[in-house]
Amino acid sequence: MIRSDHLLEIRNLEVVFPTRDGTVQAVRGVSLTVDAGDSLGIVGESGSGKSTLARAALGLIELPGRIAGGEILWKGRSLLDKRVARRIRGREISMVSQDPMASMSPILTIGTQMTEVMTRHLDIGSREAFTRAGDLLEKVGIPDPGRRLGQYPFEFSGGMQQRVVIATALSCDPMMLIADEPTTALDVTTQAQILELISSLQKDLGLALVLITHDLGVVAGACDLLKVLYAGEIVESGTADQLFHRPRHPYTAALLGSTPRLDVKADRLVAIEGHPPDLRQVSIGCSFTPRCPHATTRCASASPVLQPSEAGRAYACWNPLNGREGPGPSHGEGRA
Amino acid sequence: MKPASAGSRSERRRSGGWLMRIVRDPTALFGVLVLALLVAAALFAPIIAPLDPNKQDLAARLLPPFYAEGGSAEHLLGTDQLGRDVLSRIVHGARISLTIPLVSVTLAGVFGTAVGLLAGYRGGKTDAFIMRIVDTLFSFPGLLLALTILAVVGPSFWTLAIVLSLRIWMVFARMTRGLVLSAREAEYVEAAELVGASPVRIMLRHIAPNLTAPLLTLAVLESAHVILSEAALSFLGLGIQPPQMSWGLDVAIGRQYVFSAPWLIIFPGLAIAVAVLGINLLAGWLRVAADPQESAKRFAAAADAPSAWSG
Amino acid sequence: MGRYLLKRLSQAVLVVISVMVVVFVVTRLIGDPVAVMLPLEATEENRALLEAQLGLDRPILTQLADYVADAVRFDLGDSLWQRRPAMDVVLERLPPTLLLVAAGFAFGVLLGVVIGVVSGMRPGGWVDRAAVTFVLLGVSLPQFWIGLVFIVFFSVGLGWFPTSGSGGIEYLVLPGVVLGLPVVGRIALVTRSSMIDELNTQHVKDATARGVSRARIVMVHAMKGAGIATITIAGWELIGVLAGGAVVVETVYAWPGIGFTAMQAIERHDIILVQAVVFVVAIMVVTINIIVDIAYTMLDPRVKFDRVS
Repeated sequence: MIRSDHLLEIRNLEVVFPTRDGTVQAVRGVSLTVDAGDSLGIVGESGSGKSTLARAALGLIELPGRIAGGEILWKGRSLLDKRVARRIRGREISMVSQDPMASMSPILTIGTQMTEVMTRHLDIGSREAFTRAGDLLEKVGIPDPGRRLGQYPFEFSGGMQQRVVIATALSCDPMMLIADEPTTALDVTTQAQILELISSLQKDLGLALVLITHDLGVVAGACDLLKVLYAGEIVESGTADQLFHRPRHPYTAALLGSTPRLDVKADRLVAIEGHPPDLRQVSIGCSFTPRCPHATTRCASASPVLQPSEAGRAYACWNPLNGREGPGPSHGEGRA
Repeated sequence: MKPASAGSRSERRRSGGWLMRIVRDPTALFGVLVLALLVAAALFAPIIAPLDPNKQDLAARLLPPFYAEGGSAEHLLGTDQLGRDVLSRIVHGARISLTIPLVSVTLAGVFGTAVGLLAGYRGGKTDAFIMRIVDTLFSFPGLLLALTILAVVGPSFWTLAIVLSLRIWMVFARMTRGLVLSAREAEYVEAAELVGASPVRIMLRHIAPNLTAPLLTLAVLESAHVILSEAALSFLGLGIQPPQMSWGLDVAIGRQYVFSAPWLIIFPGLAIAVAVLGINLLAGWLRVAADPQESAKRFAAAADAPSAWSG
Repeated sequence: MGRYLLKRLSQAVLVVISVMVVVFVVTRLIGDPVAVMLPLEATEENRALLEAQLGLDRPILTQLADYVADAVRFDLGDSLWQRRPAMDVVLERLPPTLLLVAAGFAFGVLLGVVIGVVSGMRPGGWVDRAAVTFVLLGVSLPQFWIGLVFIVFFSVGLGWFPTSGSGGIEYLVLPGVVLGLPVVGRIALVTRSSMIDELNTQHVKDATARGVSRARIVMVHAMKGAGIATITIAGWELIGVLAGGAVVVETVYAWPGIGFTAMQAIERHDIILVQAVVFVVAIMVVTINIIVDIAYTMLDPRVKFDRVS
């Protein structure tokens, strides 16, 4: 048991994927903490390592992936210990993933898949588990739960199926919910409903929420704290307020510029130019250098470290933006 | 998060290193060596074989192999009931084991691929009609029907080759059709169709390249089946007829002496087994090698076996 | 569902009829049945007599129509060798074949599924490698040869089992194992690869994340999915065992079933008896196909959904 006062604490996590053409460094020295009731958003492009980070937090890095260094602690116990992770997955930490239709077996009924988690983790029989599953479905807004439990995933719409997945994730009263792009596979109206559902459940149940997304619009209303991930590293962190209004890292600013928002009248969206770096090559300098409008020679030759600055925020940049360039006012209502 | 594949670099490495990759993989190497041995034996049988496979020597009947008591270096694997050298017969038997699959698989492959192309490209009623016939043929009692045909028509090299190809052409048709259908859905093929490229051009330039690797792998795999079928039919007396030589036929002859001279069945059967195993291994390797996803998985598994993070 | 079944049934009848037409065409048009059946020293009169007896002097289409009509009534004529209805001979020899096929197939499927599941759970591990090697041997060794080698080793060498014939359970062991060996191999390969696929699906990964135990994922989630893939292959294997393996293995072990009977009939130029065997086997093959289809529908809810609605 290592001392940790947090619910979840990740220290200097390194995750690598060996391939024929070199080792991909998917997560490079990420540290973060989550406390009870927190809502943390982890934002990054695809390939930034955000999903790997999520799976690592469940002790679920599969071959060929490998934890190369660091610690993941859940209430002080290491999730790198498979036996610990097995007991905690689904019971204390649960997860909702991107594609609801792919998230459950197509050939088992919803009822079977909801109850199998409960009968394992909670000390209840299958009849009781079914009753509970029905209540949960009702709670996430699925009418006629009794009939629905006997159906298969393909008999649900995408949004409805995501509700089922959320209900299942909550079935054992977890303390933390990790939602990895929970709305990406859904259409826009459904997206908003699902986000609303996650947010309200989080508040009602006092859950710690880790919301992982490429879309700043998604985290805008749902998260208090944000971490921006680029090329496997955290480049900026702070409260949602701080990052939305005064981004210090150019990448955060670029992400904001590429996010459609209801509250800002932008003439056009600015796509971030260039591509994320090849994670097989270790860069000496800041990995954002090739795409950064503010890059200097220093950026290419030395890597900036995540430096704490005012009031709990931190960024890793040699030439931080002074904050006035940030795109704009209130974020609260803005949800794409 | 999936590890990204490196575009041109790995491509170059792959094409440059076919030979190295075969040599490094023991199963593929075994398969290639077996095939090379088979081809060499078939081509140069008279040179390789120590003795004339049909030369009878009644004084040297049923001699055991070299390792057994009474065996000699002159007849390494012993002699049969007519004093013929078992090793020499096995070397010569490679000819049938190579030519029958070559002829049958070529016939079946060409015909089946043509039918599959037609079904896949024409689609609609043509496709439905052809696939109905193919499905019906899959429900035919294969070997039994082959036996019946051979019994009535009379066994010979060519009837055997044709009957065996009749049993497998549907496999090629079905696979080709599936490949054509999925290739046609590719955007570049749709684009080519839109700009009015001729069907023949689309077929040759855009669809054919997608067919070669899987069809070749299938052909290798089916060769193994054909060798086994030929051996079985020859064993049952409805395949290769004496004085032609076949391993299956030799096992059938040796069967009468199974208690007194087991080497008569053991060695020819072993030859069949090694040939089929080699070809099967080669087919398995080809399938993996032709599929970049699969081979990346293998690499990762081999590179990182003792990880504690296998879930 | 009822309509679907009816459709499948009519297709099955069509398959059996087309098998019989192929056999008819081969025997009457390509081959010369009279020449095959008669001894070498037969005279012209013998020939004419046999032709008339078999009705071969009539127009070919009349012959075909009669032949199919008779076959539908399960009448395939008298066996020339046994001088009684060929169907009687086949039905008499059918039970031993069914026993052997059931034993061999059950052995093959059970062992194959076990090997496939175990090796598919950890692909690349030493268990998997050993299993794949064994399985490749199983599909590469010629059945008739394994049969003979087993006789040399287990019957002659160790004296554990009788060399051939039928009787008690001890007679069933060797032919059953030999018949099932290639089935073990192919079932194991298919089960293995669909287990690997299943275990790599997103829903299995997510089930792990939801906290479903590994045992339940393997035994319920993956195996049900793999089972659906395996059952189709198992059907083909059963057909292969019935129409191919049984002939070879029964011949090696002198097992008194229909496969051995077919070989005896071929040796005696008894085309009619051979036809009767082909006919019965064809019926069993299409029946297996229908059973596989139904089993598939019952296992896979997606298919059921499609077919019912």
